[in-house]
Amino acid sequence: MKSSEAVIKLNEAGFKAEPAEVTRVGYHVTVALGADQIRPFAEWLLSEGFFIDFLSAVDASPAIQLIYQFAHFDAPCRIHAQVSLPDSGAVDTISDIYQGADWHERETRDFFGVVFSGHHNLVPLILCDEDKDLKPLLKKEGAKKSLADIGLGEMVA
Amino acid sequence: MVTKLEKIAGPKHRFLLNMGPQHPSTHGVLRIVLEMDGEYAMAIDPVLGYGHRMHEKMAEGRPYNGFYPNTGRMDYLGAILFSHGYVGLLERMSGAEVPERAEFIRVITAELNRISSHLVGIGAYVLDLGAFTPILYAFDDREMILDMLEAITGSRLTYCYFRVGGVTKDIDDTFIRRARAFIDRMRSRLPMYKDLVTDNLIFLKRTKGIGIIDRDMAARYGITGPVLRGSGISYDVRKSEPYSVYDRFDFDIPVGENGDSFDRYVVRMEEIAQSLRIIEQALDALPDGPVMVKPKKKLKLAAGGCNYTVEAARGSLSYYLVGDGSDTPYRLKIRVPSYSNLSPLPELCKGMLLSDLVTAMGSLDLVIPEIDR
Repeated sequence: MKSSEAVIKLNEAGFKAEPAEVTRVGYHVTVALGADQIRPFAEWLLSEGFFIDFLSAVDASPAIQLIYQFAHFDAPCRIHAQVSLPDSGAVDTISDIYQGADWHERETRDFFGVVFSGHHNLVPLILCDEDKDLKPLLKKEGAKKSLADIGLGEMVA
Repeated sequence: MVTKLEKIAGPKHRFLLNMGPQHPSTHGVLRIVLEMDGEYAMAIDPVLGYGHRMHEKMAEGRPYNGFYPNTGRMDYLGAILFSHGYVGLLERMSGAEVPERAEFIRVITAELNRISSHLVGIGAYVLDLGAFTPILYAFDDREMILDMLEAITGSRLTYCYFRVGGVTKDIDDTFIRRARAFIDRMRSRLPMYKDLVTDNLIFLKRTKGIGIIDRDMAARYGITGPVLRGSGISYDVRKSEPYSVYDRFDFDIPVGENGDSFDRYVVRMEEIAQSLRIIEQALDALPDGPVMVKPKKKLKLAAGGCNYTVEAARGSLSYYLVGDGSDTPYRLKIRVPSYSNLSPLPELCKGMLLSDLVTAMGSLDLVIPEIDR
């Protein structure tokens, strides 16, 4: 699927997608997702043949940003989605849709303490059991910056 | 699947088996907890993190150029390919100029590194299956690459050769002569590997039809690299999202037919031949000029997120960096290929004989420090 086609189809499916300048940011499409849209978004991507590249997070104020990246085997089309973590600290898992997300979600739980509701086995993956509440990639107070300061403010749904 | 033993004794006789963390066929500190039914692995649970060093946190605490050595210490077999992604990312974000000669040298050294990584991958794989001789041949060939790279980079394994704006040292005529000699030698050795390993009856019987990965599974798990191409999908970042000067070279993407362990091995073998083609073309077209444009003393990157993806020896490698205007990253995420390539193991190997599990896992060509980061 071409990236221009993907933008149109994503918007038709109800997701806020915009083309990105690939030579500057390294992906073709950005999607600002609401926390309730993650599962329909993942189902749409799987049905269109996208594969999961990675899933991670960035700690910022006011909320942790979850980063999802998908790409396609047949055409250069890298989709970058950003989700603001709701106050509950939990988002829906996509590990039953994209099984590869299983480990990425466990890793994100290790490093940021994000809970993925519905995950079948959200136990520490990289960190050991004693360090499971260490959350090493959370920023200390004072070091945490606002979304605007790190240039991610525009991508909030 | 109900095994013969289960029919007789019921599910009670199942036992847990710890494979690793110190097991020769896991090639590093990877532990796999297996629920065994006789010789069949009925449930598989990989346990990661024994070699975890938190490179992503380390990056946040040091200037951008202080992270160069870390990149080579994740995938120790493909260090140059990992540096390539990192400097590419910084250059994309800072807009730094790279001289053309430096880009060509990057491609030459990166492809040499890919060959040396595949040689270890192939040699160690056949060793897992019980054949000791091929790894000695593979190491013999790899030694030539290590000697060549040592002369220009100063290291033999964890190279730290690329910088923002170029490479640290120019290649000389001796290097070019040795590289050309290596291309000739390696081409003459490939038929020997075919006779010795690829056409070997025992090897064929051990690997054909074992651990079949299809397109659906590859998409669900994010499998990339030679493991993916073994399944007949011609996805290669060097072609699909060309970086550096890869779009100037003529090369093919070898793919397999059945997606089994044998096809993944064959793809690696054919990729060596393709890498030789790239190196030859790059040597022929090598432009003159400087190899480094010195950037300003301190590299500071503007706020914003940026992604850079390259084809490492084991698949698609992405660096995602969020800058905040200072001289350290606000967040650096490293997406490593082996991590996603190992994750299908529980689904891929369910119900397999233990010896077949070793075959299937070996064909993924894992580097564990890269998975644990």
